[in-house]
Amino acid sequence: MIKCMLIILIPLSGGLAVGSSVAAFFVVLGVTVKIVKLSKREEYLVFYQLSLVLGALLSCVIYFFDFSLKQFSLLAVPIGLLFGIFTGMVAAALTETLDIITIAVNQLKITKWLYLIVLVIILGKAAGSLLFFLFPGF
Amino acid sequence: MESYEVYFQFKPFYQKKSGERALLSDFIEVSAAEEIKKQIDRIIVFPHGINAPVRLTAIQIVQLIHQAVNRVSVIPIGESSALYEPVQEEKDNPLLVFLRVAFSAVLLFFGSALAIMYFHADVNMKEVHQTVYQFISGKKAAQPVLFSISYSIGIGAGIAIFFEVINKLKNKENPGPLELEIHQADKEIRDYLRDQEGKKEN
Repeated sequence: MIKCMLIILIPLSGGLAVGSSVAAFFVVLGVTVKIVKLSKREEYLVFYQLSLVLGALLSCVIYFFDFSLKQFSLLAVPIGLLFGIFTGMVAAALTETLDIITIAVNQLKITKWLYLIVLVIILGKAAGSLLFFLFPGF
Repeated sequence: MESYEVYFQFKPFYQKKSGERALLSDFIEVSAAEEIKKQIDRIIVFPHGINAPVRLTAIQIVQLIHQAVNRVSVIPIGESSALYEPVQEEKDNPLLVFLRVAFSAVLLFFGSALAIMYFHADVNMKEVHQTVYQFISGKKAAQPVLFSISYSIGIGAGIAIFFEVINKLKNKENPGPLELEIHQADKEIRDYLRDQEGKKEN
């Protein structure tokens, strides 16, 4: 009986810790705020929270159960795109929090070319990701 | 005759649409004797309303009140200036709104899914991508090319969205997050220099 309770209780508390820290990470980075603002509809906040929770659940379905949609290879394109957008936003949020671009632009006195630098960073990130995933050996 | 005191502070938001007549009471809250307050509230600032964001300073308000009412001393409370925008009329296409909301929700859905999966796999991105691809297609692939390419394009798009690159190309006025950051840094430097200057003189 105690064993059974422990088996339920320990993963539950572990999951609580993981889930809340992931949520806190996104909130602090401002990624979720950015995405919610993208829709210009802050009143649907419940939906957004729900989709965050359901997304976390989806990851458990993918990872812990041997379950597959089967024969929807083309679905990889939109899902990959969405994954990429989210990762890109997290990466951009990190660069912004660390003030890398701001300091570089201020030091080099090229404030006018700020968006050129952003553009170059975008191209670089995409190219690096392509190289990493497609070139065998990484 | 003694002069009356009028206290005012700026309201946080402007509630009228563009083109509606803007009274002084739309911009400030006033505390004064009943008669004087009524007079002040009736002052017209913009007869044809405001179309673009408008900046008002406490000095302008004081001048306006002095023009309309005699023998009052006007005392501002709080901020020395404020920026007001007309209320945007909602002309949004409901389909477009739905698409935007749906996109945000789906993005958050897959984003949180990916984040937790990366966490579980100790940020072994390749393994995660293979697992996700297997989940979608049922096939095991060492290199899910389709997935990787769209993922890479997505990363670029994500950074562009975060730094509001498209918004910037359309409208040069609105500051993106980077411009705000630079402004903040400049302000901090100015504050520092000002405070240092003060130290020297004493």
